Amino acid sequence: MDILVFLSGLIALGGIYAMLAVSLNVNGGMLGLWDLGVVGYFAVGAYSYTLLTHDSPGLGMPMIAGVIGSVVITGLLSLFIGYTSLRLQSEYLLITTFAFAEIIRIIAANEEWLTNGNIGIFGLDRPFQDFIPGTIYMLFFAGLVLVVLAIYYVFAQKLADSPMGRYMRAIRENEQVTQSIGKKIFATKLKVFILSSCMVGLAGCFYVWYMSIIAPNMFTSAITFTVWTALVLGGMGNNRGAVVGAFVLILVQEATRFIPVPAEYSILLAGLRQFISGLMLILVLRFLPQGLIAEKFKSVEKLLNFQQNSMIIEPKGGRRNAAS
Amino acid sequence: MLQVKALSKNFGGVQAVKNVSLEVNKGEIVGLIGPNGAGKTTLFNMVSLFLSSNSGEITFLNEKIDGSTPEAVVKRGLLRTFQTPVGFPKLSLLENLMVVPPNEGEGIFETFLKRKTIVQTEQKNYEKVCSLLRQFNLYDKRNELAENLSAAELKLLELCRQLMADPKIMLLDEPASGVNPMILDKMVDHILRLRDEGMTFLVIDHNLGFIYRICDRIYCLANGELIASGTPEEISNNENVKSVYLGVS
Repeated sequence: MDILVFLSGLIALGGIYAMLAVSLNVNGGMLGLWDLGVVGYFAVGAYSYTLLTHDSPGLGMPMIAGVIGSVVITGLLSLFIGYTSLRLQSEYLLITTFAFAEIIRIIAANEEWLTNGNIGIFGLDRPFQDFIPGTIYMLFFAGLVLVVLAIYYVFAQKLADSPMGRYMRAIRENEQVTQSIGKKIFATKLKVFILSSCMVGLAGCFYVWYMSIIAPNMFTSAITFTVWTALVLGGMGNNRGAVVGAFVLILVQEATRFIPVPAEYSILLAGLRQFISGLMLILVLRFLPQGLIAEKFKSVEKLLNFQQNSMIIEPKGGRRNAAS
Repeated sequence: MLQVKALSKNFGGVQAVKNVSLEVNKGEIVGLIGPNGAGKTTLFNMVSLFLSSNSGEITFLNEKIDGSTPEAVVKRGLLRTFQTPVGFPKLSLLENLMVVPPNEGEGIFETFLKRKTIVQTEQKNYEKVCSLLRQFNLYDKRNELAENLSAAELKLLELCRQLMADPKIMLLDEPASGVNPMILDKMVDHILRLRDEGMTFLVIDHNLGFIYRICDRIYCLANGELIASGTPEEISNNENVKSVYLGVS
């Protein structure tokens, strides 16, 4: 039973990271925004959920209102961040979003009247906890995470296969040319940025449920880097890659717990996790630069089952075809 | 159709374009030549509003367009290509072109709410793209990624991409560079055919043979200033042009 609880905890954590990776893939992978502020929206989602639902400090609202509220608040905040920083290009955007995430964490640590500072808020409620016995609660929670992850995945995949997805990839590939064919790039970037942040904010609620506490040191930039590493490992621009990358990374990191070492080395072992994820990243970048699962090209013809009115039958196998 | 009046641009202390005026009439192919650094591309960037000008006036279809946005001029039918024809490397040829026409489905909510309209629009655009690719002999490669094309094919793709946006005037930035003589002949045919169908062109190129073959009139820039203008014959005999290009006087 213990191992089952441990495993389901692992799946829940992996699932939350996978949700983050899918959200990041929407703006980082498909649209090509170098967004290092993931943990910022994650923290805002988590904190606004907590403060809306918790009694004191907080407003004591019902759970569902907290979830909706946290998504809305994250969206509004990302509207502000996006509007101010999305005109910046690549590295500049990266540093700006990173700074915003740090600002959010520092505010959470210092505004003690609101967030209880570094001590954090303990013993937070979890969804349906009254109906499910504590021993198997993690099992249920892992299932819930996987269901929401599936929704995220399907949503992101539909988006990727649509004209919108194509448009987003066009912006990623060449912003100037996209502009030269008359597209309003900034507005699109802002919309997708907000969407992605809202998805991250919702994942923040799950993180609160998973941990059942909230404190500023849960939201260090390490989370941003883990999510990016997961995305690069799995394959940028590919939702399946994002999910696989997140699970592989979390499983490998957690597997270090099982290396049998004397107690005095256990702290060293914790450092080993970072080392392993760094090593994996380097190996993947060296040998599989596209990630574990490369972004797949899908033909428009196949996606929408197009038939040309005047179909020309071509000889098979004559030409190397990227679609097959 | 397109008038540029006394256009100037400084980058810090460098005057990239000084007081340049030119005019393109409907159905003309106008060339823009000049040595490297003459300010040709800067002029293009200003006309397509990728850069703002310091002074001067740009009129397109009898309306002032300076101060507007690149998207707005594209909507009115002014399209430009880029010197380095990279396009969208990781998109297939079909996608490279299908992304061009304005599409109602290009939104987050629209993706899920307007599925029917999207499929209809896509089908329509798909037909258009296919017939265009056939014209340019790229149909067989429609599912190939753009990064697998040769430089010359990319130039043709670039032309196709602009055509998808229903242009009234096309600004071509070095369409002939890196194109082999055989495809260059085809490029000439395409441009002349499009002109006969009523298209207007403003073309930058260093390949003077190509420019002399297609252009009705030519402007020559050097150091940001207009030094000569006229028919290909006049330009090829112009002493100023000879001196900036060949260094003879």
